[in-house]
Amino acid sequence: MYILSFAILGALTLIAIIFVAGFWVYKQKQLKDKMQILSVELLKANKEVKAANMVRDVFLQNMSHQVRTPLHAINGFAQLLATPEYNFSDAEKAEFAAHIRSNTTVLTLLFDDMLSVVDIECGKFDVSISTCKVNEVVYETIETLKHMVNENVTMSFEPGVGDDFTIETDPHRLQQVLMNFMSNAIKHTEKGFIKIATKLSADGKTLDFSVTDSGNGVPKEMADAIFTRFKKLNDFKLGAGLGLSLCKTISDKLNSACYLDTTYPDSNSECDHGARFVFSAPVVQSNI
Amino acid sequence: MTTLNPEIDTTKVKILIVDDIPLNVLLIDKMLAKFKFQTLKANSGADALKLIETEKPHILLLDLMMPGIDGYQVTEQVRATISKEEMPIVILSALNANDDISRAMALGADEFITKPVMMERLHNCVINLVNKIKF
Repeated sequence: MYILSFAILGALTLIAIIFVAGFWVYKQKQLKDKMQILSVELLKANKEVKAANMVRDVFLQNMSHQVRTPLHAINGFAQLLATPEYNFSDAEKAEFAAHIRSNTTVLTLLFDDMLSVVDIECGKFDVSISTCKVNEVVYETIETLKHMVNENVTMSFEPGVGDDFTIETDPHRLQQVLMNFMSNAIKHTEKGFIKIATKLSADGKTLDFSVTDSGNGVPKEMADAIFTRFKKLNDFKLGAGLGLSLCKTISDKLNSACYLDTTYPDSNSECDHGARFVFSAPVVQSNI
Repeated sequence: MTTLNPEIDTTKVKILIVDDIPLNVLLIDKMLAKFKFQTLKANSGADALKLIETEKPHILLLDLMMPGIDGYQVTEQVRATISKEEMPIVILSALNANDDISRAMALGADEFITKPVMMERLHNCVINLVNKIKF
């Protein structure tokens, strides 16, 4: 009896030890698994931070280059104009002033886009809807940019609606989209044409603003990618790669559509190369 | 302000300006106009290398970011055959990171001027180099 009690007690103790040991091993494994998961998450987070830092560094370096290039022209030609000993002719002075003006426009567009992107990141990017005379916005945009057009290029506007035609939209944001479309067309078109047009749809529900050029064009497979931030077709052309992504954000905010017309150029087109960008706005209210 | 050695006939000094943006070439050319140097112009690294071979300029004013053969490659190829004494290279670039400057200098550039270029800085740099030319 005495021996049996000892045996039972011993067995119970052994079971308890095995249970405690098993529990300890289980807890250790749980802890190890948790550590492993945490370690993987930490590595992933570290990679993400590194990638974000790299994007930021590349962006800052690119922005520095994008800002310095037009500044170089503005500052340089201003220095020449401010140095009387050079005795430049009136024609030369007018040419220098034109270079200062066009590079100031480039810089202004760049800063407008940058500030808009900052607003988007801060969740402060708003639209302010009002009644907008569409032809007026287009004419103003052309007026702002026409001095930048290459001398071998003709820029024209074919209005598809009358001068009193209005839509309910944000005129400032609409102009920002048109500025980006047109400045891209100007950058990429060395000869030929840039045509701006407005066209009311057959049912009168949407108004398309299109900018068509005879430049190098955009490969069809890039039709979506070019609307992503920092995406540029040519790294050596001025621009931060912000404009088209901003146009996309604006079109979403204004319940509009913004796209590259991949059917252009077709057999009926004036030339076999070039690009057409379209901003399609809903006609919420008009006096048609 | 550094002064130009009056004994130097500036019309015999050949300066090659290289930038893929023609407006930048025009600007630097105008900035140097008062010295009456012979300015040669190229809008690509390939054209610059050809002109270096045929015209043998005394000084090279070179942009870095260019499509095709960029300024780094031009510097490297030039330095393979032409010494700093024979033809100094001045980099004019909108790039201004320390890595860019170190890389250009390591490849054999002599000076690095960041855009926007200050006219006085450019003048001082070019005059210093012109004064050292052995005709």
